[in-house]
Amino acid sequence: MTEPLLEISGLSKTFVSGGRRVSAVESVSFDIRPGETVGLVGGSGSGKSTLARLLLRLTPPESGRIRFEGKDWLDLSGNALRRARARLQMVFQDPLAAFNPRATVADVLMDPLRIHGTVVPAARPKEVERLLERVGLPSALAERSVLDVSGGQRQRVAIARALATRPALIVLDEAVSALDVSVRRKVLELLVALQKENGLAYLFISHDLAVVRAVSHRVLVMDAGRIVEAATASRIIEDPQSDAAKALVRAVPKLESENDAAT
Amino acid sequence: MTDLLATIRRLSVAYGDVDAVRGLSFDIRLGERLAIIGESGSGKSTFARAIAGLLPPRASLSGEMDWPCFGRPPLPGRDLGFVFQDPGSSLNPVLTIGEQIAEGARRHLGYSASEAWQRARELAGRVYLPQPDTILNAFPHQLSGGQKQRVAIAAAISSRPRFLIADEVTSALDMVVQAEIVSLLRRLVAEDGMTLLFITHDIALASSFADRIVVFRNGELVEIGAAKAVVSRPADVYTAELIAGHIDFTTPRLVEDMP
Repeated sequence: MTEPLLEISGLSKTFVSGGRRVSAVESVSFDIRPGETVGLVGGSGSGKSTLARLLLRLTPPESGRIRFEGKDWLDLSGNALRRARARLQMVFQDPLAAFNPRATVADVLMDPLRIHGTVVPAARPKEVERLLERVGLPSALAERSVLDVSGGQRQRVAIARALATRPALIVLDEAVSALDVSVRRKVLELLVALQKENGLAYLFISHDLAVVRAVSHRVLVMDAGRIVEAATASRIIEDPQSDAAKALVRAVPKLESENDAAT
Repeated sequence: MTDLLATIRRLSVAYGDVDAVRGLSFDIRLGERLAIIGESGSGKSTFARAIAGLLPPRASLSGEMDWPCFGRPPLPGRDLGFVFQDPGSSLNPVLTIGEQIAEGARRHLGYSASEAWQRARELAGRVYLPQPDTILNAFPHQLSGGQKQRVAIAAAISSRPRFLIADEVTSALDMVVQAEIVSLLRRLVAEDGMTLLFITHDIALASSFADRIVVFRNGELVEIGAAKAVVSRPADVYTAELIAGHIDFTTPRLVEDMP
């Protein structure tokens, strides 16, 4: 049994809204092993994005522990935190909101290389080229503005930026939800290929159980701040236990062909 | 008596030198649920705005649109209701939910304030808003995304339009709420005998719910046909690609379960 890469235990976060305390994340515990994709699925307001924010230390939890690569992730600061951050990266739904709109693709990829000192300065242009190649983009794209590339290309750039610091885990928060059908499948295939090459682990967050099933080794179902079900993807589709999982299974639209009408 | 709501011939819309849609010709049948499917930049939203008369002034429109069932172009808000993708920006933040639902009935059906409020109350129930009496006095920011979309639907049908246009109305919602909104639209359209134009990027959603499907790509019509026939026997390679790209529980997985 491999040692977990990430171990979350008893994580809780409450917000105060209109004088009432609302539990956004409540006693959440799970782990992710190296090279594993854990799918986190739930509806709006289920707490999955708050959980991602806690994990990325964008907001502090009230209680609970996060261990990442054997260290107490929430206690890290200074250089130790910066080094650890290189190993835990993120990709969001809307890459444009995450990029400086004046940046070129090369700028976006240079930043993490500089901040984390991944390669010596002289090697950076070559590294940018290599990162673009790994995500299936032509090196000519490097000089284009981030505004001047398609949605699918932009999300590949966001993945390349996450890869730049050689992470062990990437948090993908609705990372393919805004993409057109014709490019979404290719981006998912890219993620799986990168995982196989590098042993990357993913926390794949989505409201779409069909997409989660396609790429996840294990699935966590979140509802009202709690993890209400944890199982393999096949198990959750075939035999959902919680009301939340049952609703998510039912909600996936099916392609209806003439054959379906006949039966 | 005609069985057509609209006939569209050689319809094009341009913004400056750029054609958003080009040479569209097809009919909308009275009482049907017609889905327009397309990806980003396909022109599906431009088309919806063109037929609703909601294009911005800088757009130039050519071609013909006839409305056999109205005998004139439909009046937005009266003859046709429009529901947009983002209810957060289509609802007025400083009016109560009740005022916004009642407005169509006041303005177009000549209802008094109290009659229109009564109509709003009835519609709040029909779109399954919880605790109608409380919610009618609430403001949009107090509602969830799904509730706001129910309000937008109630407001769109308040004047009893015969034609409802729903432009990506579920794309900003999670899957469970999406399924609820689609089932709500299906019921309302059936009960009121409305014609529905349902615009979406999701071919599976369209196939589960529309009578006919029109596929758009880069501003042009690629294919039109009965929904199940288009899914079973796509006539165009692009439609076949959209179908192949769809991910559901029968799609082969890209990874295996881990014990």
